Amino acid sequence: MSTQQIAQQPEQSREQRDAQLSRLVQRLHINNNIAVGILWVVAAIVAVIFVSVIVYLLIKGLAYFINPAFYDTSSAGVGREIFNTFYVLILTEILLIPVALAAAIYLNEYARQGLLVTAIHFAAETLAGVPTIVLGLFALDFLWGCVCLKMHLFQYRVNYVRVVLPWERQSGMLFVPLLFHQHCLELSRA
Amino acid sequence: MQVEQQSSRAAYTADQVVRIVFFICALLLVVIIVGVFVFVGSNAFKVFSEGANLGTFLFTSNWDPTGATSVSGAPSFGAGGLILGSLVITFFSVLIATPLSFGMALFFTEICPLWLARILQPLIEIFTGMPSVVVGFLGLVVLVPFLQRLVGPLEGGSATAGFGWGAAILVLIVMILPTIISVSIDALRAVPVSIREASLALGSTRWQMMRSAVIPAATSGLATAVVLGTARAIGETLAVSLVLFGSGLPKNLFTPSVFFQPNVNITQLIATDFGESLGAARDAYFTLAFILLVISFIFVCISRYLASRSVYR
Repeated sequence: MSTQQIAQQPEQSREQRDAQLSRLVQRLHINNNIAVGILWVVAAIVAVIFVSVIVYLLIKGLAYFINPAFYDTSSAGVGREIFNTFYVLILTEILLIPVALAAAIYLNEYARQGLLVTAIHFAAETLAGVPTIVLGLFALDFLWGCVCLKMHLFQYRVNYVRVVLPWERQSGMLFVPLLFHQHCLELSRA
Repeated sequence: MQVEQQSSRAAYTADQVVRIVFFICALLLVVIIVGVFVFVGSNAFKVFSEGANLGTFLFTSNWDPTGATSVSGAPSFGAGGLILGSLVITFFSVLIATPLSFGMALFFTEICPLWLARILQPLIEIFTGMPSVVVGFLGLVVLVPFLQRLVGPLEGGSATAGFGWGAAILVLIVMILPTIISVSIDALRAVPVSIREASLALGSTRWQMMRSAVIPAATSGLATAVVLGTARAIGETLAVSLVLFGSGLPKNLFTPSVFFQPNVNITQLIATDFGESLGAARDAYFTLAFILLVISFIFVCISRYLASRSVYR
């Protein structure tokens, strides 16, 4: 029974009405407490998932993380892999930050807001949403076919792990900084 | 006077040059995405002139593009099982992750005390940027053995029990939670404080305020969050393929134990088999990639449509 319904019953005595109202308020407060309690529990579950992943990684990984031998560049360490990761990352950023920044500045400062700008925004969003594995296929077959990387990578063809997976990561990174353009938009607004 | 004119002309020319260069950079985005669509699309339909037809491709589940296991050596392109795998995994992970994320987002924007928000914020941000391979690897070394012990008896002590849809769903939940949470938080924050104040001034409890004022006002933003989470889930490759570990659909498809046996989805098969494939098999993987591309494109369209409908941003 809602507050209005209670108020619209004139024949009832004042005491009855008061009692009904206080019951309603009580029920609402109980509902509120239950709901807030559930939200606390849900938040706790999510936080526990996140924290446990981080704690597990720390417990298992910290010993290696602070051990210099782990970063050895021989086959016993992961030095080469880490070097490659940062190599690809930094190269990509060097190539793409100017392009992304330029695109963002163009969209905000030069272009008249219209169909073309909408199309470019749409393209950026679509690109950000494309699964990395699809970009990987694209990179593997198309870029490979037409860019001079051809010779360099040919020898790795034999083993997919060394081709598809790094390529997936690389091409993913190649395109991910395009997301920067959103941040750049904010920047240029400021 | 002349010097001034010259310098202003030089500035004008420079501006024009920069404008063109910047325009080309912006256009590059369009060129790349069109290029991806054209290239993958042009390869995607080749397979249908090489022995596959659309009906068997979408609705049968015998995926053997090289003909390695068939007696006659004839290839078979039934991607139904792969598509089913992707759909089931995505559906269940989004189904479980959505209420958790909305709860977390509501908690974060409406209830959370400030000191706790300061701890939760970086936690969510770390996970939004977490590489999928980390989550997948944890799934492989922690989750799969755990599930194996849990459901081992159900599977008759099979050595590969624990891999499969169940593990993939749990891994995906961890992957998409931060995405949905952070977009939902943005959507809830975009609702003006005046709406909350109006609701509270009418005598609502906090829950009534959330349920009948904040959530309805943020509906399209919350829907966008779910769509983006779904898009991320369906395209997720590494994390999922690490814990799926299968090469085809299991036999007993309609029992609960199907969730704990090695299984397949689209992205996993592309990642494991594309590198070694040739000819028609290679084209078949492009068809799968094209399906993924179209699905993700549709999701982007839906999210844009929902975003365009939202009142508060």
